[in-house]
Amino acid sequence: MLNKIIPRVIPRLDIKGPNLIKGINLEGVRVIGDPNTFALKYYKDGADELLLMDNVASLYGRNNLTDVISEAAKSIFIPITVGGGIRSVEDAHNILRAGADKIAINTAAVERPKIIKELAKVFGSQCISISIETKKIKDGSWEVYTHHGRDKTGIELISWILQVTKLGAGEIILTSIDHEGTKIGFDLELIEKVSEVCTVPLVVSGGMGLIDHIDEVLLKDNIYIDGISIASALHYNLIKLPAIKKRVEKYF
Amino acid sequence: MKNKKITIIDYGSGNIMSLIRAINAIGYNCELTNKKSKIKDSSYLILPGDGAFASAINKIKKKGLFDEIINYSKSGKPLLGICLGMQLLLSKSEEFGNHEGLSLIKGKNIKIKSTNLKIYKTPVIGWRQNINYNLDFKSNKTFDKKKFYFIHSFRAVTKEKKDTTSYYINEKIEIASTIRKNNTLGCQFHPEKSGPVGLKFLEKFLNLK
Repeated sequence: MLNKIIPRVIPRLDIKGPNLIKGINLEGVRVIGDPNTFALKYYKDGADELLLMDNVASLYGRNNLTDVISEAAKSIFIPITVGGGIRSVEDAHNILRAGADKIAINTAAVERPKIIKELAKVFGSQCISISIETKKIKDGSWEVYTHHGRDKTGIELISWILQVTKLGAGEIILTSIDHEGTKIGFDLELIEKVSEVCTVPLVVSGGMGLIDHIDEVLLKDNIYIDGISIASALHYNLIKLPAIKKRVEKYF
Repeated sequence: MKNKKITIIDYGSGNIMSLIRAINAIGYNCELTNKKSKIKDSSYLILPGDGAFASAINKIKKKGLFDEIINYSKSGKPLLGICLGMQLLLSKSEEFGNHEGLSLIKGKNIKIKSTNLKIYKTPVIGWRQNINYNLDFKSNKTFDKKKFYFIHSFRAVTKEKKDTTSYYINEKIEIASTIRKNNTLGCQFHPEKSGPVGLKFLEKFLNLK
């Protein structure tokens, strides 16, 4: 048995309007299908949580995700985390009222970090996940990006993690832009680096393509994760959720 | 759908929608209300909760429900506190200062601590294995070793050990998963977010006599 926490297996559904979509390296969008059909299937297959991300909300400053959330909350009895375009306490309130359990913010936090404190004060830290997209840069450090890997922020990753945690973030959802959509496995170097400093639950995302990638991320020393988020490998049925769960549980 | 006079106390806590849907999914109607008469008349009362202890207690007091909940519990009808709702059942909390709770079960809430912060992080967010030694839902084995979904930074410590009816282990520390005194129950996990086993738990509660 590993002296680690059993990670949640979290299907990630990127949504644009009424559609479930998937991009490669967070660019170039493909329509996959109806998000609720997929969400229900993942619930029935034993998902530990769902992550719904509105992929265009932060570009247009709007959020049309509440319909999808309400529909999902009717028949899905696992936690649902929702992100995309949340810019205020009111936005968060609407998302949570529709049936979400946690909210994930990225752009809004980068633009105005104090919003984390405001949200944590009203809803509690446990409700506030910070979604971080990051990419390795030339000097060997990682830079934080927004808008699904489009925009650089000039913020260094580790200092950002420390800052958001101090402001009241209850969880980090870490996406490796370099690995996202590539199916080459999780970004182990990045995750190890973050594990060193992260004192709130850490969900990792980007790169899962084979079932053996689970073993890589779980067995590596100095990596401590609390969740694994998987998108394309599941949506395209490359790996089945029950198999992933089984592989994870093997170690606990 | 069957009517059982199930009431969820409405005092402005977070994701209530899921709880209502979960009760509906089991096959019962329920009502979300802050009306004293409705609370008094209910056959099953649920006290939900998330966020901060002090803010929740203040909201309950503001709506004049503090004594109403206590009176309901004293009547002997089943009451279930969920997550923070469970912590509110205890005498006090050390969450950002000392605060008085409903004192329906003797005990207090303290911060979850761990020595290895890299592994055992707070808040605890995730599925943990329930170790059940005296849940008293007729069959004691029903929820033993089953996984439920937890999300919390504080933990309940009952004064009487027997009032803690199940727990999970976080770095060698037993964290109260369910507490119970007579027909007043609390669960630290979210049954409405714990999949089919969570629904089963709610169903068992809603069939308590």
